[in-house]
Order: sequence, then structure tokens, then C-alpha cells
Amino acid sequence: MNSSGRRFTSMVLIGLPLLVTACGQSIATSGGSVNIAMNTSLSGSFGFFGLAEQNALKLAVDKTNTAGGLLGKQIKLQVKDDGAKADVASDLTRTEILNDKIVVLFGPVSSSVALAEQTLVAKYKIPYLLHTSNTDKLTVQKFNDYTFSVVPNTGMEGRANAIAAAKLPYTKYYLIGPDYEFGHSQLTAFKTKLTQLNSGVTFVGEDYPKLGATDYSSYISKIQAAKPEIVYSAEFAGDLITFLTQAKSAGLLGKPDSPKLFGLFDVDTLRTLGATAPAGAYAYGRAPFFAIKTPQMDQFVKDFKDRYNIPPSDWAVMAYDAFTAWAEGVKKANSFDGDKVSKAMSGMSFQSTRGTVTLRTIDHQANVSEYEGVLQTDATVGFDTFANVVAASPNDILLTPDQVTAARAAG
Amino acid sequence: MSPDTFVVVLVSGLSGAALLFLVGSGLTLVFGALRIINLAHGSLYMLGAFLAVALIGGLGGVLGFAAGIVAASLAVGVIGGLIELSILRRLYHREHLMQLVATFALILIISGAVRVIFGANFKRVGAPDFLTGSIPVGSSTISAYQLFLIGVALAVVAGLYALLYRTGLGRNIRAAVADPELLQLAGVNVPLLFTTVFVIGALLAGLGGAVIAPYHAVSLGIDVDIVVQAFAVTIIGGLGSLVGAAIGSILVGLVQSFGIYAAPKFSLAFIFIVLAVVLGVRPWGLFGEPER
Repeated sequence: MNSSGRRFTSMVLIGLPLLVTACGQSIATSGGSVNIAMNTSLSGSFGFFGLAEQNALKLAVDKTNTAGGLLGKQIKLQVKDDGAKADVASDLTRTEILNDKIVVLFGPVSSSVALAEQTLVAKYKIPYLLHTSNTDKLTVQKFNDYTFSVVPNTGMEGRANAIAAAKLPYTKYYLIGPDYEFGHSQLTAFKTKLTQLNSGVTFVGEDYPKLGATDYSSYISKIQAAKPEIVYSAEFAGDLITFLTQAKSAGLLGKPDSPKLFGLFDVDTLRTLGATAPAGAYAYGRAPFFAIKTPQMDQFVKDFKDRYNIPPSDWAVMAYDAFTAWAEGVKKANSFDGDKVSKAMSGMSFQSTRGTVTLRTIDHQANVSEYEGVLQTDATVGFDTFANVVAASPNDILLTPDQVTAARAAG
Repeated sequence: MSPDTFVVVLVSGLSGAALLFLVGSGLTLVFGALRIINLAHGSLYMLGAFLAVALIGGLGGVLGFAAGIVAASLAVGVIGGLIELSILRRLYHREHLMQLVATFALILIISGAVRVIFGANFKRVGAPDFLTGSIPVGSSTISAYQLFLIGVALAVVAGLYALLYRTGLGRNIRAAVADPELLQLAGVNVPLLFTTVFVIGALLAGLGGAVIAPYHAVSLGIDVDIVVQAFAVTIIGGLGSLVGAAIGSILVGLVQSFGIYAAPKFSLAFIFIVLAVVLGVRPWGLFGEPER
């Protein structure tokens, strides 16, 4: 290798880590206001999650401030880009707590980031509201008094889908999901529950492509060779679209004799897929606005559309609910003090866009549903939505308090 | 693995190699001639993908598909030219660290610009019907779009060969790769040559992004993923060597494709295993030159 080539190689090794850094900015506190923050993914392939969450929180904050604020104080929201990196998020969180004196932190997209932030909020006694990241470790094994979740966790999601799958006439499954905490955790919950419900089920394959994979063709070849009756997928958003595009291109999906698909279809993905969504596929989602009929949801959808000209995604719905939960906790505690608000929120019921939900005392997990249905064209919204929607009963998918205690004891 | 499946996995590997070659060839060409480390090469790929989504979606039809790919590639080539003229030209005689910082800054700028212009949400665009189907191979099927990707890469190989070995410009580029100082002494307009080479490199990155856009979701972040792979391919093949980029791409594409089929748990490691093995045996890469 010539000298410039050697320098090149060493520079590449030095420079590549630069590619995964991110930056943020800060806002100062003032007398008649309180600071709140959310560190989330505003860049990279997760950027759309963060944007939806940010839009929802801005809407909630502006509505609150317009109505006179919370306990007479205006809310100042700061949203920073964690780049989906736990170390970046930890630095941001520390700065927000120590310098900006935030009174609440809203959670990120990535579960691994949430696990890192969770230890800091406990140390500084700041309420922490999870709305997208959903590994069940956050509320089970790693639970602390300041962490609350309004998103169905991976265990709830997997179990809810298993209950729905057990009613389908298929027994030969292939599992596929992204290779990180969420994918493994959710597929494990699905597999365990479905096996309990139907001992005749067989799993003919299980793969975890890397998050953000751009080539699924080898996985698709494996699925074709295994000849499953149905493919259960925890792939989501861009990864799901890539998988669907390449699966159709390879002849795995879209033919009369193709295996069925049971996958995670959020509103953003359905909107992006448009007419190319695989109508007839079994679908599940965490908070699809079209499947939830409450006055709160109707109002939120109207407000969101008026302001952003698009319907709210599942991520926006849950971020909005997270703010509502915290605001109700503040009112109940009549204080912004982290300890008092957290105690007020524990066991509290509040009106969310998804109806009345309770933040359980045992794990601070909201008793929310997961929604399943069949994809069908929907002219009223302009993209495919779910037909025959079933909202899983929270009691059927939540761990019992005894199970939570046992899981914590087992580590 | 049945013979049918073997063929399907083989074609998958070659289509992955085709994409790696499109992006890696531009990277190695730019380094070979300009001796510059362009960390932002993946950003040009991402730009090509987003432009292709907008253009193909806007134009529609088979002609729109072709025109969208060509126009997106050319647009990225022009943007590359502007980058070379306004920024990189000032860095040729600076240390590599300065080039790294400058091209890293370009990553952030382009990523921010893409986010502002195209939004944070992922995008998708369709391909013409004849490319979205599959071709039967025994009891399995091959994706028509994968064959299209391989065809585009072969066309680029032929085009680059013709450019480098059948034109005066190509002769000068090869001379620049071998000895840029001597080229200047021979009276060649080296600054213009460098701009041209960078435009070609950018165009190839843009073409890679444009042709892959209908085959996977286009989102922020695809720049980092591809540039890491492209750097690996160029190092495996030998810095500055187009033949090396081609062989490196095929090697990585096939190892990834068959590796994922056989041992999917190690999917993230395959490219780096190839890199480690090649560098262990030939530290200068398969077609690079050892230090003299």
C-alpha cells in the first residue's frame, strides 16, 4: 500500500465514527415558565418518528399555554436530536436536568436510548414518560418510580398479536423482525404466547435482519424455501416497505398461493405505501387513529390535521397522550416537583385519546390496547386502514402483578 | 440448499454487488485521481435516491422512470462539480484530516438539506411493471429488478472501460491515478481534470441511489450505511483500482448473500470478515499496490 493509501485507511478508521455523532441546542428557563424536554431521533432513518412526536408535543404545549398554562406557568418545550445513540441521549439528559432544570422528560424512539435515560431520571427524580420506545424491560426488570409508559410494551404487543393469530387458520409460521431489543423481545413474546394458545403451531424459520437493512433478498429466499403458511413480521416503517417491495419483487408476496402476512402497519407507513399497501394482509398497530373512536381522538385528529395538514401517526398519538398523562399528574399533585408528580401519576387514571387509561401502580404501564385488523382500501382517508378491527383487552395482554414481581426477581 | 435456491441467492449476491460497485467505483475513482477522502460520497448517493423518488414519482411511466434515474444522476453530478469547485479544490494540498473534517461537514449539510427539502419521513417510489415482477427458476423465482441492477452495473463497467481506455480524458485520468505531478508537468489542465473526475464519481454515487430507490424505502440515514460498505469495498479491492472495486463488490456481495442464508446471526459481520481476511493477506488490497 502506498503512503497516501495507508493514510487513507487510517483516516477512514478515524473518520467513520464521526458519521454517527449528533448535536443539539438548549433553551433557558425563566420565571413564569417551566422547561420540559424530549430527546428523540430527529435525524437518520428514525427521523420521522421524532418529527411526529415533536409535532404532537408542540400541539399539546401550545394548547396548554393558550389556555393559561399549567398551574399558571407557561410550558417551554425543548426537543433535541439524540441520533438514536444512548451516549448522546445521556449527555443531553444530564444537561437538561442540571442546566435547564427540566421538570419532565419525554422518552425517545429507541429502547436502548430509553434504558440509558431511565437511570438518569431516577437519579435526579424527574418524571419520565415513554410513548414510542417499548421494550418491556423499561417497566418490568428496569422499573423505577419515575418511569411511566403509555405505549403497549413489546410483551403486550407480542401477546396481543398472538391472541389474534391463534384465531387464524394457519399453523406454519415464519418470524422476521429487526435485530435489536424491540424485534427480539416482541417476537419472543409472540412466539411464547402463540405456542401456549395453540400447541399445533410450528415455526419454520426466524430471522433478524439488521435495523435499516436495504437488502432482504437472502432472507426472502430462506422464507420461500421454508414454505410457511404465514409470515409474522415485526419489521416496521422503512424496513417494512423495503421488505414488502423486495418480497413482492421476488414473488414471495402478492400471488394467490403466497404465504399470508401479519405485520406492523403504522399510519405513516400506510400513508407512504398508499395504493401499494398489501390489501388483505393482517395488520397490527399501537395507536392507529382510524381504529379508535373517542371524542378526544376526534379532537386531536382535527387539531393535528389543521396544523400539519396530515393525519397523526401512531407515534404522534402516543406522544400527545404522554403529555396529557404528565399534565394530569401535575394538576393532581398541584406541583411540578418530580417526586410529587410521580407519586400522583402512579395508579392515576386519565382521559387519553385512546379512552380512559390507568397507569398501573406495579409497573406504571398504561393499560392500553394493541389494535389488529385486515388491510383494506379506505377512500375516506386516502390510504389503507384496518377492517374488522379488534382492540386487544389490556387485561389479556398485561402481565399480572405477580408475573411482574416474578420477572423482576428473575432479573 | 437446492440448485434453484442457489441460483436465487447467487443473483441476490450479484445484485448487491452491483449496487456496491456503482457506489464504490466512484469512491475509488475519486481517491485514485484526487487523493481525497470523500466521507460525503454516501450523501451523494442519498441525494440521488431522494431526487429519483421525486422525479420518477413526478414524471410517471416507463419513460419517466428512465428519465428520472438519468436526471437524478446528472443532477448529483452537477452538485458534485459545485462541491469540488467551491470546497474540495481548496483542500488538495492540505492534510487528510482537513479533508475528513470538510467532507464530514458536507454530510451534515447535505443531510440537513435533504431533511428540509424532502422531509424526515421515508419515501418510496414504484418501478415499471416489467421490473416489479419475478422470473421463475425451477420452484423459486428471481426478482426482475435484481437483474436490472446487475444490468446497470454491467453497463457502467462497459462505460467506464470505454471512458478510461478509449478516450483522451480516460488516459489523463489513468495518468492522474498513477502520477498526478507528472501529469501537471505534461501540460494537462489538472484542475479541470479533477473537477471532471469528481463529477463522474458523484454521478456514479447518484446513479447508485437513483437505481436503488424503487427497490427499497428511501430515508435519511441510508448515506451512512452505504458509505461504510463502499469504503470497505474500495479497501478490499485496493485503493484507486476500479478492477479492485468490481472484484471487491462481487466478493462482498456474494459473501453477504450466502452468509445471510447460511448463518444470519452473523449478517453484520460478513463484510468486516472479508475486510480482515483480505487485509491480513494483502494489506494493500486485492488490486492495490504495495508501498514502494
